[in-house]
Amino acid sequence: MTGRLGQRARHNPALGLASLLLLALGLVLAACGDDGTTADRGNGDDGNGTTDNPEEVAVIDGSEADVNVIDNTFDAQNIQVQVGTTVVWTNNGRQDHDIIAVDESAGFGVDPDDFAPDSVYEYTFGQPGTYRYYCSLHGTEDAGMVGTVIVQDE
Amino acid sequence: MHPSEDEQRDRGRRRHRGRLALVLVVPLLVAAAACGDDDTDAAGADEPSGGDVDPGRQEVRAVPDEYETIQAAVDAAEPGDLVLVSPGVYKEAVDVETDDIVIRGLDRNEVILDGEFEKDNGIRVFSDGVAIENMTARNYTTNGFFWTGVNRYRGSYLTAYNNGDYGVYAFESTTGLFEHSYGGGSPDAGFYIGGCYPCDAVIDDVVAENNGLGYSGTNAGGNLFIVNSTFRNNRAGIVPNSGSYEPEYPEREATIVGNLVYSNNNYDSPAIDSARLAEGNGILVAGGNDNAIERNRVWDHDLTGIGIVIVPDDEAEGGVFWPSGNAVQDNVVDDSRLADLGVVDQEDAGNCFAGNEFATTAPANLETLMPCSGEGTGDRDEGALDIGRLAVLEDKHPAGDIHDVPPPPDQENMPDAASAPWEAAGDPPSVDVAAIEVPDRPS
Repeated sequence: MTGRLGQRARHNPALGLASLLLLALGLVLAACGDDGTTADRGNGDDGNGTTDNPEEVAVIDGSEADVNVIDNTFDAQNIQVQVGTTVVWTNNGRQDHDIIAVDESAGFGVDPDDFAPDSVYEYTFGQPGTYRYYCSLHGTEDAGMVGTVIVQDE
Repeated sequence: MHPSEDEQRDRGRRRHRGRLALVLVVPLLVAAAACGDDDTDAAGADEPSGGDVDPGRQEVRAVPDEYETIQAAVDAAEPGDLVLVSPGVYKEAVDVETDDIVIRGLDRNEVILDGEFEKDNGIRVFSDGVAIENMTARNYTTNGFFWTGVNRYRGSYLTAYNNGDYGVYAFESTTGLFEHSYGGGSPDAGFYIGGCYPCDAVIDDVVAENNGLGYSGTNAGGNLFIVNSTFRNNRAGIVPNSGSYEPEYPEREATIVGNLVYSNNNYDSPAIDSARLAEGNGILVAGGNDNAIERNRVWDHDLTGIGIVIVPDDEAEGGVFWPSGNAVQDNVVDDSRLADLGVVDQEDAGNCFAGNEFATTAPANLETLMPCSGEGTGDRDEGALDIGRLAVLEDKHPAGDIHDVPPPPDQENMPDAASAPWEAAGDPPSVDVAAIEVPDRPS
């Protein structure tokens, strides 16, 4: 059984402000900031913010792990964290997305209404396991916009 | 006979896996596309190109005669099959996960997928080689027809209108073709190809109107052709653009030739903010590179006919996607209230203008300042493009309501939909760019 240690969805005011400033400065088709905390994207990082091999797993140390949500990809797509890590998904895309756990009992996930562009959703994984998830707007359980969190015992 | 709207309601995601293929009774089609017919060399009758199809077992799966829903027929289909849909309103959101099938409507204007502004995508494709033909998708909260992460795709004789994001959409997909299709009433783009390089794709003979953007191509390029099409009465017409919110940035190497682009000042259209920012422009390259824009006819725009501008983006080097290497040649542009041709770029960025018919440019004398051959001369600051006219969202018109967009008139049907052979999506046709002339202005 997976423990729910904490989860919340929020609008990131810093990102919203950045967007407004950029809108004022020039033609912005969408712009959201990288707050500098993006986790190691793994060896598949192609230099433009995406992993080029969805089979790769980004191993992330620390108490927090960031997943960059863009249209229409979770980056890194697959991450490995320790028990107790808080995974933070930030919608840096221009589209609405959601996060649906394949195992409905996993306890995490967010609806599109709470995960519009510039929004943040986070969840602390309290139990080891492999947690698959997807965006139902742009994927299915096993195709399209999918991701995995592998939680390991310390 | 086909099910009533009530019968179709909420059948959308029901699956019927494991159902045995039935002996088919679709006389017209079977006569034309018989399994294993060795006497025909029609494309697709023996083997869809690029797929792994058993040429001896292609089947037609009829909706609703054999399968109550499109989804049920799609789930039963095997590579090489045709899902043939009779007229009706299908309140479904269909997912496709089988390679190399064709989904075809018998009548483009009467085979209608309706999301009722509740379902997300009309048809969403996750598998390679899938072609969708001759039908309509309307009123979906996200997209009408959507291919994602696939190789080989095709949309032919499609109508998509009043869908919440895009009409006809390919994302992170390569080797594709959109042709003879209509996209209207989307707050983002009527036609969209995004996140691919090289895309190896063609958009040919489509009409986009009443959208936020007629065409948008975020980070899409490389052997990508947008040709012989009409983009009218959108907020903005054709907008290749760069953005870190999708993979494969920056945008580069799209070829935009032989299109009619006019009156893209439709401030009643639904629009996301980026479409509002782009409003009033015919062809707008936003932070893109090495695009070829040739022999288009462009007129009646409140801002630029053809504009090349910057895009601020935190992930771009220096915080801005600077456009470079774009060649604007031999277009006919007039009646632009800000400038027929305009550019905001860095010195020596390699953007060039030559052979165009126009009245105004910003900066002044663009074809002398930035020629496509030889050294440019002139003052970049003289008559510089007022980027502020494009950039301030608060100055833009508010978005219109998607519910207020009128449905399009009936669109041209696919010839012989009931009897034409079928072919899974393969390589798009090669485009003879040099043979494309400036299209005539419609009467």
